[in-house]
Amino acid sequence: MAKASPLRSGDVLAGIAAKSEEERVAAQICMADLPLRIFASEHLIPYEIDEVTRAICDSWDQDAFRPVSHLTVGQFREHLLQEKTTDEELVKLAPGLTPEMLAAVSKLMRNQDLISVAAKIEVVTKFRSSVGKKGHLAIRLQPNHPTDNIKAIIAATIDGLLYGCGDAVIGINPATDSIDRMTELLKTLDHIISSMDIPTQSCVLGHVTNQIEAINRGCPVDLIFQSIAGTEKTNQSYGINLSILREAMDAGQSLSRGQGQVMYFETGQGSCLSARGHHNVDQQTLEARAYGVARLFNPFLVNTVVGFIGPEYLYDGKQITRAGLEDHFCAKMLRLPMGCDVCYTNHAQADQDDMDNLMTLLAVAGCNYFMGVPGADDIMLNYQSTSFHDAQYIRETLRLKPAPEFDLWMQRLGLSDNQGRLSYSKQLQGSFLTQATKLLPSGDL
Amino acid sequence: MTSSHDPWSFLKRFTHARIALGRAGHGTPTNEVLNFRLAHSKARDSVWSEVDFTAMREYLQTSNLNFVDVQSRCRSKQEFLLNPDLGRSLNTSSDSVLGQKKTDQCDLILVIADGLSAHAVHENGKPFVDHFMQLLKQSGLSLGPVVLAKYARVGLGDNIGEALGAKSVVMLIGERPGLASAESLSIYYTFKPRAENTDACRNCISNIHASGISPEGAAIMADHLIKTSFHRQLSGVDLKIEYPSLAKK
Repeated sequence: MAKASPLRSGDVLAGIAAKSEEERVAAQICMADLPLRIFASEHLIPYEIDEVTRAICDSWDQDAFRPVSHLTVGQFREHLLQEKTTDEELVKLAPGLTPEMLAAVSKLMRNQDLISVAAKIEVVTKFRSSVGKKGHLAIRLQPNHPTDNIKAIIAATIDGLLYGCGDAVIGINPATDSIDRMTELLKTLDHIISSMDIPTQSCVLGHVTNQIEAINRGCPVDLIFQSIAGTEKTNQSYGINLSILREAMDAGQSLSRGQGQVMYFETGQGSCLSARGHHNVDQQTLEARAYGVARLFNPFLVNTVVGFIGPEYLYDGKQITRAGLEDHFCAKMLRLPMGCDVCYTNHAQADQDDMDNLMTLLAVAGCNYFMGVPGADDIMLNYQSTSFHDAQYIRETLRLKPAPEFDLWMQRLGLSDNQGRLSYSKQLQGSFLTQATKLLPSGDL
Repeated sequence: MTSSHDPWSFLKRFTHARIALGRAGHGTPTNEVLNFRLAHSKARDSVWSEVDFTAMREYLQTSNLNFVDVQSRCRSKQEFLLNPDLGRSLNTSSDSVLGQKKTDQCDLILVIADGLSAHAVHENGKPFVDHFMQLLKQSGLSLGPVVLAKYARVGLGDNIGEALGAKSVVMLIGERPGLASAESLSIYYTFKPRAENTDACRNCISNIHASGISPEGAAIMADHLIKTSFHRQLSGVDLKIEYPSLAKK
């Protein structure tokens, strides 16, 4: 598996990558002839030592797998590309597919294959807004601030809303582990959403156990966030396991604030090696296994944070692009509501042009949502993602609209026209601003 | 003027995030595109530049400080970026040079390391050392040689401290640069440096740059940290240190 993976620095770092270009292709040629069903019986990480392997095996639906059980990995690629292989068939097939099968086939696929197969798939999730409908593209508004300053966060949120962002979630990465600060942020977001009647949901992306504690304290928690990975050992290093995630989901659902889909997960290739929990398996296969974890919890949002981890795992724009397309394909095939934080750090060989490319490719592939960060520059996490303007670029260019409920809300307030274009009316923006600035703590305006 | 202004620019006073940028169609106005590129270019240059250790040596000589040069097992910047583990241990010749200088007597050594930002060391290294040395003289602690470390990750400081037999090590190292601050320096401190130490054994003072903690403030914090650590004979998460309020993080 590792030798068949397209080149990436993380597999080289782990010492498991092909030693030459030719060896890589030779491994792919071998893999193309493997029967797909082999991944159901031969485990890359032993069943006995890893609860993720157990969860994947125990939930595998042999009946659903039957239509493709006679295929090799190479034939499975061709099957997916057939015009007659429609989304209705892929829905039925999904419970019969394991993350390892998808990782294997993805290694044989070109970028255009990853895009065209994913583009067939529609995965819609619902909280206050509906995310993932064909013809729509949602954005997570990410108003982070290095000291969690409330006014700064509100100012960035207003900016994002005026640019049509925030329909996937308004989600803050808190600067500290403080539960008190988390509850304050949750109350602030809840106040913004309810007082302006915004059809969206909030999230403060602290540790899952802190969010459970916030629920116990009576806080208004919409989505419950956690970073997850594809091995038990790595999840342990995050301070989680499947039973903690189950407890979190139950706690979130008990509030009945949405429609049952309450979880928000982030993932990213390289996280297992970074946590020394990789069992000598390649990073793309491990990433697909993280989606095997995610699908146990019927999440509202899932996204890979594809360039965040740094150049020792994904070296440059080319590797980040490939990883983003693989991640989106594998997750969509498992029927996850997949989005992507298209991003990079300053020590990676990438720039905003690479982000434009990957965002465009993923939007063509039907990606559910992207990040909206003011000016693409996250001043808390010190990395670059995609901006409110980038969201407008991609919606305008590919004729995609915000989530339907959010789109109507914007039109009602005069922030956009019925084509999803931003309003140029200063008067309408003015009345929105008057209302929005009332949210700022008093004494400032 | 072909771009339009956002009527909510008054919100800029609440945050240094890039808000109310205005727009040209659905795009960002040209001046903002260029501002972003300029910040990114500075951050990139900072990662890929080499620290000017020659200037640093001259400065240490004029300050009458002994120094020694070392390098991690990385042989190039590219290798340094691709393999963090190599940056955490010393190459063979550095290891033997430090072995010869081992004393078992010094309380503290100072390591000046490139890390991920050469500009951080250039901008904030010397002023920190100036202030720190003044405070150190008053403390009565003995200082071993200043170690100039190339292609260094944080963990290298413990290797250096152990190789020299020092009781503690203070490491200055360039942080991974963000767009807002390409010159941000961090200080890592360990009491009883050992190669196998983890992050939990270290204390960190980060964000030392023009709009963060000043080099002088950082020196005062480091001095306080070292005194507390020697008093309690430990460092890291168990120290639970409260810093003097003048340089609140």
